[in-house]
Amino acid sequence: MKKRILYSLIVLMSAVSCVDMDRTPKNIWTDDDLLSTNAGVKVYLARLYAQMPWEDFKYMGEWGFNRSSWLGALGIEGTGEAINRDGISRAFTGESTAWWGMAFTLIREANHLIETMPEYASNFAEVEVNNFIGQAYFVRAYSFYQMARRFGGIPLTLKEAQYNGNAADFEIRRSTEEETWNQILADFDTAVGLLPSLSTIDGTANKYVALAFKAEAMLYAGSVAKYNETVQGNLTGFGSKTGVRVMGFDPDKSKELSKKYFAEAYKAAREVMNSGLFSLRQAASSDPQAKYQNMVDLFSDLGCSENMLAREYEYPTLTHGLDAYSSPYLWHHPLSGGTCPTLDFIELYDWPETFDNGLSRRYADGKLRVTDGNSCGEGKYLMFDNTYDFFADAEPRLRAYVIFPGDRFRNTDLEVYMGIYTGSASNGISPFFSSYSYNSGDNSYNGLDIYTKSPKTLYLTGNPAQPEVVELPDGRKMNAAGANGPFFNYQEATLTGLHLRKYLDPDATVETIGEGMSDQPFILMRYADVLLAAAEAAVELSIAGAVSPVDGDDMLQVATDAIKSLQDRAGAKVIDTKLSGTDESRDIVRKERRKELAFEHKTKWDLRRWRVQNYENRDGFWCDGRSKADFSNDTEYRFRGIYPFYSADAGKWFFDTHFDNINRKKFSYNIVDYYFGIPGDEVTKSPVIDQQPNRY
Amino acid sequence: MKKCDNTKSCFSRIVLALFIICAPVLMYAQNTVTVSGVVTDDTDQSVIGASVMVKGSTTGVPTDLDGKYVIEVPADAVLEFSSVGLKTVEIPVNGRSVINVRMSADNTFLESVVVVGYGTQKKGSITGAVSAVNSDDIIKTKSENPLNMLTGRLPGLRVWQKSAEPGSYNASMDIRGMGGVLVIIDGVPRESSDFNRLNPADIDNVSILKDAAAAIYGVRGGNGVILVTTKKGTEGKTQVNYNGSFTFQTPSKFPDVVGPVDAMLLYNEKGMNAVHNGKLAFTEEYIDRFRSGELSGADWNSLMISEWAPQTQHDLSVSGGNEKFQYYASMGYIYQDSFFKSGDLNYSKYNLRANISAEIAKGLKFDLNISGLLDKQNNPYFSSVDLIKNYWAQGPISPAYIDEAQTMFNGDGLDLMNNPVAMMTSDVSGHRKYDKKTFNGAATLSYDFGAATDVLKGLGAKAMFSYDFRQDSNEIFRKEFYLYQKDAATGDYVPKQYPDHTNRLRKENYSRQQTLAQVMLNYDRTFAEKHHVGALIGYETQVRKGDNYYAVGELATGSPSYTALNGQGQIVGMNTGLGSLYDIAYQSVIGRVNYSYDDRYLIEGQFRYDGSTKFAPGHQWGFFPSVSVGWRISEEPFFKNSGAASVINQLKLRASYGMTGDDDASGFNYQWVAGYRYKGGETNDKGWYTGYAPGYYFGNEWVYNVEPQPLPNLDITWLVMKTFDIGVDFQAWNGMLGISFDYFQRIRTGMMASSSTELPTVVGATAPMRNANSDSHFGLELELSHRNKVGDFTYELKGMASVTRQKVINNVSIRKFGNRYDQWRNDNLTDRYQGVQFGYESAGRYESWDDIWNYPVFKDNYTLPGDYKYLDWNGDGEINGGDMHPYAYDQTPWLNYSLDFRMAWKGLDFSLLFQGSALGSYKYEEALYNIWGNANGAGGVLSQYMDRWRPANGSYDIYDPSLEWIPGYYGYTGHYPDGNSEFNRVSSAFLRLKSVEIGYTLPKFKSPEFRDFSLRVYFNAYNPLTITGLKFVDPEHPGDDLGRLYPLNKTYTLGLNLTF
Repeated sequence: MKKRILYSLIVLMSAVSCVDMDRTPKNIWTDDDLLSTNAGVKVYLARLYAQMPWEDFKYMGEWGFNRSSWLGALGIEGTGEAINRDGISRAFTGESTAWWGMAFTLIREANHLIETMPEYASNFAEVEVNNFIGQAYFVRAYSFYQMARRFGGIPLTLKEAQYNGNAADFEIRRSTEEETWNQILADFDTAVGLLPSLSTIDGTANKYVALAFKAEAMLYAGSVAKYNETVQGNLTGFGSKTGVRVMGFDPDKSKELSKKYFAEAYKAAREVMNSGLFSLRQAASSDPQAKYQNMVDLFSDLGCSENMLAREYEYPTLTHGLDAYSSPYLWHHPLSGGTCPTLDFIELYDWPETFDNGLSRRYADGKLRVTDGNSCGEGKYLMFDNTYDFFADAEPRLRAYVIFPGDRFRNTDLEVYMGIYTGSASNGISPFFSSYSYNSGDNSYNGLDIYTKSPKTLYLTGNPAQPEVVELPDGRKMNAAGANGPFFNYQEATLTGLHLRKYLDPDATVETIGEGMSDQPFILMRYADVLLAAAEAAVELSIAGAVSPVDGDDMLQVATDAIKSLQDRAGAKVIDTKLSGTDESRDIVRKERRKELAFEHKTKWDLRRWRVQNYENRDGFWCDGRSKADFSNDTEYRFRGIYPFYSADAGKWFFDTHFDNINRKKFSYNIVDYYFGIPGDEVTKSPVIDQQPNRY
Repeated sequence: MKKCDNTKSCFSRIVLALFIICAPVLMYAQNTVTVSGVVTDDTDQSVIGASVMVKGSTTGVPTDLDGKYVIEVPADAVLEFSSVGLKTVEIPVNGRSVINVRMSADNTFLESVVVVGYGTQKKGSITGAVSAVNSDDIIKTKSENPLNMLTGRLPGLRVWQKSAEPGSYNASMDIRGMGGVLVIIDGVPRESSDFNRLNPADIDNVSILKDAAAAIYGVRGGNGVILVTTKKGTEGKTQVNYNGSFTFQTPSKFPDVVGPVDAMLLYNEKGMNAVHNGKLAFTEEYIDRFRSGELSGADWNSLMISEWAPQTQHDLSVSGGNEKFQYYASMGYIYQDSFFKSGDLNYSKYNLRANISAEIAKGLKFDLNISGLLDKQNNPYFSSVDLIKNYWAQGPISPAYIDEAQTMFNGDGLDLMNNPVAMMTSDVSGHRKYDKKTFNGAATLSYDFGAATDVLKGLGAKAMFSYDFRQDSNEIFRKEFYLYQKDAATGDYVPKQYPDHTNRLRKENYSRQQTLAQVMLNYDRTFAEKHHVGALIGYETQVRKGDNYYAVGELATGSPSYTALNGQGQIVGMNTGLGSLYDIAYQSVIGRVNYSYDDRYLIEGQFRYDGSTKFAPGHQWGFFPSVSVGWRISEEPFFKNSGAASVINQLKLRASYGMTGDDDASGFNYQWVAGYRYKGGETNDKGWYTGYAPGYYFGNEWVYNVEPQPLPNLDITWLVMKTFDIGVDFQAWNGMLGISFDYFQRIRTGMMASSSTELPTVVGATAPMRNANSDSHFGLELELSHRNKVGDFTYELKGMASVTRQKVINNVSIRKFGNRYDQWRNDNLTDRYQGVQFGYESAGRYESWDDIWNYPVFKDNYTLPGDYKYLDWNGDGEINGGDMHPYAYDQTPWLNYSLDFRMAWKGLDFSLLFQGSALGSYKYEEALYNIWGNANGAGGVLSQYMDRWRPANGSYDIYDPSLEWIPGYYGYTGHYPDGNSEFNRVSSAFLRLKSVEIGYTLPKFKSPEFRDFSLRVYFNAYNPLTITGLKFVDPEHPGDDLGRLYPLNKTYTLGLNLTF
């Protein structure tokens, strides 16, 4: 019995042996795991690229880099390209998620690679190590650049800080804006020196991608250095904590700096052009239909030699929601009509000089003609057999970017009209509103007497779920609004009569559309951008009286050829004279840039660097001589739509052009907005981070 | 319900079998006498059902209805008379044939044994703040969750039920407001989810360690410990126990949505509530089509929610044993349905348990505790929060089905096509099924050295080994479905696939296990009658491991099986969260010494030397000591001998002080390890279309990435808590009055925090956690009790209340403040009581136009009668941010109280439990704050919004001063109070009848064959009545998920307890 007790105790005691106390979590990796092999470095690079401040489908100006494609829309930041019903459609005056804290995280991780990769160099061929380190420099250059164009001078974090708990040792003040751009220049140059000519890892930068972004960045720097002075206060000043010129440039140096940066932009763009590796994607024939199709296909053809860097998506792993939010109402799934191009925007493009009957397509002030009078408020509406007839001869490039009422999209003729007019058309139909001026812009079709009073002659639909139906003289029944709207009380359909086409999946069906179901790639850099950068830099350098930074170049000829090639490819009118060092030539380049790069998150930056958004400078907003009074007063500005109507009496279509009649969206922009404010918390938190001198 | 029937028949078969096995116990007697007599209590009432046993045998009888007994016993036997509430009496027979016994009331509360850390103690001589409750009390509240059954039963234990969603066990508990509690079940640290899922019938008692008494649990004991002990078999005849109940559940305060006409009316009011350009949202013609019945929309209330949902529960236990072998075995079943009409949200659970003790050799005992659990939670694919959100928001205009025959779900006019009926139906949109299988097992061998030699009397040794295992198998099935829209022109029904909802299957498998091994030596002996010495020393190791994986892929068809995978989106991954993937070990040395002199002066010291692998080597070990003292004044001779004071049974002063720890900080993430976390296998149902994606497409190759760890901090370790408690226990007149009062304070230092405000942003890293923050909790706890017996009528009253406050002493996460006002206004983390809310106080409502015109404070030009007046706190003549000041507490109530009333008369028993809280508030948000929903469908109009200020004649011309206004709770539709004002953040103080139970026990059968037969039937209501100022939701229903959590329930239960 004693034995039984003893054995029992021994058995149980032995179960209680010491346990191993050296346990770390199973899923933590170290530099050794990551930086010793190609696959590991790729994982590291995937981290850098996933954090890159790419402005694509998962970016919106209102939110900044919150990496969300919720409500996905393009070009809605008060640039005139498009509007959207929500508060997210707002002039680009700041981002709710500031590119600040996240930027320093990314830069730290890039610095870590720059500093640590050499320790592992023996595992790789030299070109590979150079590529990896070059990637890190490219990431850092681009991150700094994205900060600089938001904030001006920024803290330049060039080392991975080995934080020891003593905050004071690690504070870094904002550099001057000049130092900042110089660092960006240096980092791009380092990257260019290290990166291979062809990307060894798809989707990452190579030498020419780095050059192209360098050109874009330097164009920004050169423009700011030059155009800050066109704005009251010259947009420069000193930080209150450090006395450093954190915003703008020393007025004594700004001209030279502007030239320096434009020259760098020109050189970089020319190096890309001279490589001979890239070209514009060309149509199969010179037929407008072919040119249109070419411009549509360009954005899905990653293999073409125009597309230099793209961010790829693939359902179901990584997706965005552009089709779910910005398709026409027929594909409402679950929303629609998120990107509504404006009439002002399509007026930038080329239209035939005249209608078939000889009447000019534009009024004297350049606006598209919809009546036979001298302005859209005078004369009688012009009548068309189909809504698309009005648009049929528009520039092919525009048709590739925007869906016109009645145009074909996803195998459907897109039915878009605002209402049906049942009044007599025998003597023509007079414009609905007595005034089309800026100040009358809040008037709406559903407020018109012909709609509200009895007997009414105008039929509209407020909400697609409750359609009004009109009986036509021939007994046919017709919905009062088009299947895709506009509906006067419903904002999830077009607000302007126009829809985005660029980047929408042309083959999507309702079934394949959803918030996380789109996977079109976003082209982050394409050769057209490089040509435009070269042209703009060339004209700016000529205006400044500088000689070509590239030996043997006739800069203006380069610029002229670039613009011509773009216009020709687009099916637009090709300029017939050589550009010169004048503001007029500059505006030709700018307008071409605005047209070509619309809906690519570029225009909002261009308008900013040209400093043409504040009221005083707003005449330059459209780059085509339009007067700011047409779309603006001294506090706000707004954009127009083109609203098709059906005349039941005539059996024909006519158009009314009016400021956004559904949402009555307005934008405002002030001088202070050319630099975003430094996030308030960061200013309070740090003894050395200055707020912008023009903000309090 | 078929399942239910099966279980029942299964049960009855078992009952029958057990009956046959255990039936007749033959009795042999020699040299016997027949003894009879009457048993009475000290009020001379006869005692019914008192047990009369022959000491040292299993022979015995109960007394009958007149307190009489007759028993045949050996002439030299000793009779043992016992009955609940009375002192056990032993009387030698000495050949007598009549023995009448008068039994006196028993002060069980002093002698009763309470489970404490690694042992038990007599309640009378406990020096720490320990409270306990036994099964009789617990089961007076009926809930599927034992935690809810503890509500109001233990002073200082705060239980907050947040939702009654079946299987979610959404209730939280803490002790004295101090945070997550360590749960010990049968001596083994386990999860609170294990406690939630215990079969309530298996629980024998629960005690909580509230002060430094918890120091014996060292690094994990800081927030207090809850010790749960399950039932054991007792020596004696086999006893079979069956409990069965059927419960009706109904929501406790759950908002409704109004019908289409009212909804559109309010939308029109809202549209017209503008100074200029008011707009009618819906035309009168359109509304008339609903009035006339031409259009009907959807009555979402009745489509979605059942007023009543069933719940049922069955338990069967068998226990018994002899001197050397005792057993308790049980099984339990519970099924709970939800309020969702589809019936696809429900829960079922099976419990099995066997607790066995055997004496292998003299003094050597072997104990085996084994329990198994199987539970299954069925959910629709969409969460109940989603369902409630959409049911409230979509609006009554759009029908649920588009066709008359109700075969096609409507997709028109619904925001984001979210048709709540389709969403709640698993056959349509898919499901989420959560299966858990849990095994808990422990074997204990204990030896009493006293059995071998008297010298070692009081010395015992014990070794335990336990092994727990839990397996979670989850199946998440997303099913493609179509909604239909009617084409206005053709009249055709056009199908539209619900977006982002392709056929997809995800299965998750989680396994968790822990082993615990323990050896203990304990000593307990009294020397020279007055010196009582107790000691304990032990060593314990515990290893806990968690692992998991999931596999997800798109399906070719809508059948939830991997055989249908179509090759797209196939990913295998794992959840790397610390709660799912872990490998943790603890090692501890445990010790305790107590000494008491003459039961008057008590002192106890405890310690635990504890190591946790959550920390870096070199920082793993900590020493946690505590000491407590007690003085039983009532045992002092001067006190005992004084006549006046002799009615006092107990007067004890006690105090404790000690150190405990907590290694379970949130966000801790092994921050002492430098490196990266690989994100491989992470997926997102919608392809990360919103949010950061943990990888990048290099060309068409998806590469997962890593996330750097925060800056490492090797020194990171547990936080330290210093707990102080002082209390007094008082009992007099044999329980007629009992008072227990405690003051407690706990200071926590070294709480883990990372300060992003200290680390310069330019460093670009996440600040490391460090042991930096500190705070204090303090409070009072009071318990009052009264017990009495008048004739057959016994009753008991017990009230308890505790108030606690938390004050942050130092917190490094705080930002810098620009000025003193900024700091006063926004700094809640430096030397400030927690829960303080800033906002506007009410100054009433604008009662009329005159009131508006004459009220001296600036108001906007759109102000209407019925709008809200705020207190101009700073007196500057306008209402702005400067008028915001502390005016309310947060949602956590700082004061909790309960009142328990119990009475019994003959076979009837009755119990009432009131419970309440104060010093808390509730803020209505979003859908509960204003009309929030799909405007096109007139959505979001909860019925409460009808109660509003409005013109008596229904006019929309609201700025017409001649209008007469009808007052209401809200302002005119469209005008809502400031969210942070007394109008919208309302006190959540409440008093509720938590549980009321009335039961009737059938009189005992006189026939000896059925003498053990007992049947009690009862009716119980849970949460039937709540008194609160909070109008629209249950006061315990939290603001989480913007108030859209599944509601709490009221339940009504009919049940029976059968013993034989």
